[in-house]
Amino acid sequence: MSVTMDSLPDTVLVARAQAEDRDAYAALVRRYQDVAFRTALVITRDASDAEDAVQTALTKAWLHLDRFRIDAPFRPWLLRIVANEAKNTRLATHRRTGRHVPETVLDVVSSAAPEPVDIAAASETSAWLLRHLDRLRDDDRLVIASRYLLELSEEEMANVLGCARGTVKSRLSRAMTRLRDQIDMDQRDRREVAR
Amino acid sequence: MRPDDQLLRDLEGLRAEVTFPTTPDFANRIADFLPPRADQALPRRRRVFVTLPRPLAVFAVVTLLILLAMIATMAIPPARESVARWLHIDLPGIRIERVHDGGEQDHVLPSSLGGSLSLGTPVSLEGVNDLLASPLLAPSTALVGEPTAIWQRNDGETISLLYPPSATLPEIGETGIGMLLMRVQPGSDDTMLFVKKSFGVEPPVSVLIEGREGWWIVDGQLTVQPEGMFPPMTRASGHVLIWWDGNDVAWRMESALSKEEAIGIASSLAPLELGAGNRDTGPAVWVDDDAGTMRSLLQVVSLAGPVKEGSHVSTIVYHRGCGSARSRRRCARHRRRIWHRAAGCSG
Repeated sequence: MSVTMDSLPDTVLVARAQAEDRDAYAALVRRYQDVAFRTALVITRDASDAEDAVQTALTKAWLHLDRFRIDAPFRPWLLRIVANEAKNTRLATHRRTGRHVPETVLDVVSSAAPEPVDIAAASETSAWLLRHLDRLRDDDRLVIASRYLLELSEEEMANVLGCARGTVKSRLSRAMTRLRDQIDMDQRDRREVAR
Repeated sequence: MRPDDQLLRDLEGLRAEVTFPTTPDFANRIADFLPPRADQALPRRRRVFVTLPRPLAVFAVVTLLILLAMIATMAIPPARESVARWLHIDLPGIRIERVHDGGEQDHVLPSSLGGSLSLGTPVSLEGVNDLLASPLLAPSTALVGEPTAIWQRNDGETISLLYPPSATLPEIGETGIGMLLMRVQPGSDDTMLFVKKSFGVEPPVSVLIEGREGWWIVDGQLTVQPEGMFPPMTRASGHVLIWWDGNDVAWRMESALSKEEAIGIASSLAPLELGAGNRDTGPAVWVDDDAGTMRSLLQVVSLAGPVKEGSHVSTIVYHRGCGSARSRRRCARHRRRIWHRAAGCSG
């Protein structure tokens, strides 16, 4: 099943899934589950919450697939549902437990590595950047992470951010400005301490 | 100072250097969690909750089972859209309640939307955008035209946009209104500004609007919660689409449209831009306590006539008894108040 099904284009798989072909839907899920999970992870910043969010999003996408336009790209549509569900999950977790942003992006990605210490040593710049990303406000962190960590297209970023496609660039630009300002301020502070 | 191109290079190298947790194998597990589509069982939803004490919860479950049995015996088509199976849903600032099922409601649109609408105070688009962190979104003007008036209530917690009937927006019953769109963003998580009660033979239907979850309700009534000196207000409502943007904003669209048409319009939200005529003056309407129906609002607007360049409407009072409208206008240049129906600035 898998070899044949996995080689089919999205449009064919979507058409089959719309006709209740679960194998076709499984092939679509297999194709995009990595990016879906990572998107949810960046938003919820908790692997367990991200898993819950993706599973719920996949269920919703399945239930509403009959209304999906066959000529539209599937991945952005799915990512929009995943992102919204991840935001729901994050908010629900916060409301239920009072826990807000349980882990940092750095925690999430480095704890997944087999040897977190090695990663920190091998990519000091990346760890440094992630620490700065963690200090940004949620909106700025999400737009930068969508572009550079998830490597999403502009259309997908718009779906994940919940904004018009035309405003993605300006939001990214503003977030980058704030990241630069933060880095500059941090470096100025370090120089003054060193002096 | 870190050179910008160096920062970009570092960011572009980020993906290759971080390791995400292993993705769970959802594809091989879908048999465990995908419901049959014909059954349309709702997925688990964290924000749908019934907060009742245990005895009441048991009673509620029994009542719900009876209701479901009643639905089954009413021979409702099995392939119907997914339906709500809950007692209430809380969205930001809006609670949707199912009051009962199988009542005498017959989907007739209301002939009036009630008395005072409690929409708040009139505001220009510029004024709204000053209140909000980002530009006000509204449906594509190509689909629904421009709103006739905008109100805000409680520092922008509720923004209401009123649209007149048009070729694409049929009149809601005989109310004289094509669509009322409300943006609801409560100041705190627990604030409920509106309660939407659904009753009748059609239960609320779960829908997706650009991936965002929403509810389609074909009848029922709306209660605006009390605020300060204002008492609660309840009125009948047209067909309503309610959805949540995934953050802290809920939207409520009231119209006489079909579900598909309403979803299409809701999917077209983009920053609102008004034409030159509306942009400068801002649609500003004040409704007196005695004449708050939507028909009255539209009559007020039409009676007031176009606003002359250089002035803006600050207040319009509509008198239902005699049918006349008087506008109090303040000239932006001369700061002079003029009491005259549809008068412009005389300098």
